[in-house]
Formats: sequence, structure tokens, C-alpha cells
Amino acid sequence: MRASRGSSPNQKVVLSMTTVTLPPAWAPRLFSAQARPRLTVVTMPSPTAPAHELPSLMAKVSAGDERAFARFYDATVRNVFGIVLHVLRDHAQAEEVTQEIYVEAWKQAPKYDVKQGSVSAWLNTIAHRRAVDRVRSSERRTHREQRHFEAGTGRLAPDPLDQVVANDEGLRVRAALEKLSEGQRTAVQLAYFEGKTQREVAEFLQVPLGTVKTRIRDAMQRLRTHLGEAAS
Amino acid sequence: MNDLHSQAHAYVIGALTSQETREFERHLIECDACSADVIDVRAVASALSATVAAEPPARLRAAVLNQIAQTAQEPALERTSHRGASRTDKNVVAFRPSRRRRFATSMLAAAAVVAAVGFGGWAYQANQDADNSEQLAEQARSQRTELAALLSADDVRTVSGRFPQTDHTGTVVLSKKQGKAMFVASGLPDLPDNKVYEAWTINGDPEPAGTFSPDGHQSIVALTDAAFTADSIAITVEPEGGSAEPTSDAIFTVVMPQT
Ligand SMILES: [Zn+2]
Repeated sequence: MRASRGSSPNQKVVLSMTTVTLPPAWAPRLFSAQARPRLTVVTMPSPTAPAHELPSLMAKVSAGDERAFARFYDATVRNVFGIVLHVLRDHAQAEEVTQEIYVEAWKQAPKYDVKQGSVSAWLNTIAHRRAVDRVRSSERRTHREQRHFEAGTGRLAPDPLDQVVANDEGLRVRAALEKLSEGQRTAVQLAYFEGKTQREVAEFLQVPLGTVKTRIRDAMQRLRTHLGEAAS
Repeated sequence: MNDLHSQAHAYVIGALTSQETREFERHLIECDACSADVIDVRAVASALSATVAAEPPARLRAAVLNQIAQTAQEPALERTSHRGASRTDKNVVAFRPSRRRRFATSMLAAAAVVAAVGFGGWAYQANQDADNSEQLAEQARSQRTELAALLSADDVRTVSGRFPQTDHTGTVVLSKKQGKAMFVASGLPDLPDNKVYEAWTINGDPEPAGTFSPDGHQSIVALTDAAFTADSIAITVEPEGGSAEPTSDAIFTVVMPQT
């Protein structure tokens, strides 16, 4: 589980790779049992700065401390890059957009206000928004191979990325996702990870728009309950 | 928008259109309840990112640190919240300029008007359009049945693209096992009787891949096998009967991922 630590950019990070069949995560029951895909799990070293250090790092970043920013990057980039990659489905674009996000975070850092949420929520909001904007604003959207949901049943085809990172937080959130109904989970998945609007989700699943709105709202409320305070 | 107050969840997970987003952000400025909701829900949405965490290449770190070293930070503001920050206004879908033409633009304007009416998506329900002859209705039914069968293939793939300037997507659906490829779109405007939509597989020169007319709000067409090897799929408007090569610019293109 634990590999080398440290934030030197040149330091080799040792990753152990195994191919396992994951317990149902995003898409339990969306796969038929025999069709459950094998996912490559990359076990990551722990982030170099734990989440509780982020506020103090952020204060330094806000004051223009570039070294603090490097640690801030190391502590947050896997989630940021993950969400961007997941939405864009394109490694080169994901790198480009992730770079934009961190430059934006650097520029905006002095304006960060803890009353608006945690540092990671602030950063991930910027990240998700940028990724979705990119998907929607460019015909590169068409380059993406989208996950396929069988219309009407919400069956999810294997993730073309075929790779997830096992980490404590991720597994905890996956467990919370498990507790949603399939309809709720699918709606959130299509919107958050596919960048679809509610209307597109409704079209895709062939359910009324009002149903999608309700599912999204209920899903987020239930996730909030299950994740509790630690969500941020 | 009579239910702006209930949009916080959809807003946070990016499920609003750019216009709805702007409307909701205007609302946020004056609604403390929604602002509080947004902050709460953001924490939850943010946690979702952990389920897809991925390791970026090391070169990205160097590039980022190099760039921020040359970038000035913005000054802190006393009371400006991010919650009102507007989405970057990049929501114009660019079509390749060389392909843009007046005809396409007017088509898209028509599509936008239709879009305002709203659709049910890829419904399988028979569309009982009184104008449709029995034969056309039967054809439409069989296409939907074919699509349903294709969607149930265990190796089904879909590739979606967007009709520029409308909120609608067209989707290519393929299954190698079934040896079948189809194109599905909703919201294409009806054409005059002497015009049809034509699909093209492009791998160098465009090859005709099938013609179709919308049935109600849906368009479904079976594509030729060339769809499996095409670099991209495009849709044009052609004279009745279809053309051997495109006579107008594409109103839609989707790039097929290499497999
Ligand atoms: Zn409100």
C-alpha cells in the first residue's frame, strides 16, 4: 500500500499494479454478473500532505508561496486529474485542462474564503467546472467515447479507462454510492462524470426530466448523509 | 424557472445548461438558502472525485510549477464570493469554420426552435403521427426494434456528438458482434419533401452511409459497415433520394475513436 513518500518531482513513485475484480462500485447491478469488467487497480502512495494540512498550505499559497503550492499540488492532483480525465476521456486534454486548473487555483487563491467550503471542495469545483466546460464548449466532445447506458435500463458498459485508484477516501465514497438506488446513482454518474445536463440524462434514460431532477437531489442528499462531516 | 430554489444539487454537479447556470448564479447572489445548499452539496460532489483518482504524468507537475512561477496572483477581494463566479463563457460550440455555411446556420436555427418544444428522447413508443403512412410507421417501428436489439449487444459502443448551437446530441451506436451500426438523433427539424438527411462515413472521401427523415422527433438510420472503420461520421442535407457525394456542408460530425 505504502510506497515511497516525498514530493520531489523526480523521485520515483513505486506503484504496485494488480488486476482484480472490484466489488461493485459505481455500477453494481448495472453489470450482469458474468459481464463485470476486470479493472486494473493502481495502489497509490498516500498524498504527501494530508487533507488536514490543506488549510495551512492554502494560507501560504494565498500569500504567493510557490513551494507551498507544490505541496498543495501533490496533495490534491490525483483527485483533480482523475475527475478531469474521467469527464474528458482523453489523456492529453486532461493534462492540458489540469494545468489550466492549477494556474487558475494559483491566481484565485488569495480570494479563497473558507466560508465558501473546504479547500478541496473549492479546488474540485474549479476542476469539475473546467472539465465540463471543455466538454461542452468544444466539438472535441465528439472525440470522447462515452460510456454507454443501455437506454431505459441504465446498464453501464465497461469503463474504457479500465483503471481506478484504490484509496481510502475513494472506497468510502464508493460505499456511500452503493447505498443509493440504481436510478439515483446512474443520474449522478451521467451528470457528474459524463458532463450531461439533466435534460440529456432524461433523454438518455428515457425518463421524465422531473424524475431526473428528483433523483439527483435525493442522491446528493443521501450521499451527504452517508458521508457525513467527513465529506469535505 | 419557477423552481430555482430546487436547483442547487443539479447546479453543483454540473447538470444545468449554461443558461440555467447563469440564471441560477444570479439567483444565488440574492438567495442565502441556496447559497448554503450549494456549499453543502459541493462538499459531497467534491468527494466523488476520490472515486476516480488517477495519477497524472510527472511532467505535468513541472509544467504547472513552471507556469505559476510566471503568473501573478489576483488580489484578495474583501467580500467577493466564488459562488457568484460565472462560468467561463466558452459555451459556443465551434464547427470547423470551413464547413460553416448559411444553409447549415438556418438549419440549426430551426433545430433550436424545435428544441424549445422538448422531447422524450429515444422513446420506443410508436409515434402515432397522423401524417405518416402505414408503411412509414412500420418502418419506424422496425428501426426502433433494431435499435433496441443493438443496444442490448454486450459489446455495444456509442459515440456521441453535439449538433452545434443546439442542446441535442446525435449518437452512433455500434456492435461488432451484431455487425450493425446505427445513428440516432432527436430534435432534427423536418425537411421539405424533396430533401433528406444523409449520413456519411469519412475515411478520406465521404461515402454515403444511409438517408433518413425524422420520424416525429426522432431520427434513426442504419449505417453501412464502413461505420466500423470510419474516422468520422457526418450528416448533411441532400436532395430526395440522397447523393453520391455531399452537396452541402455537414450539420453534424462525430469523430470515431480508434479501436
Ligand atoms: Zn434559492
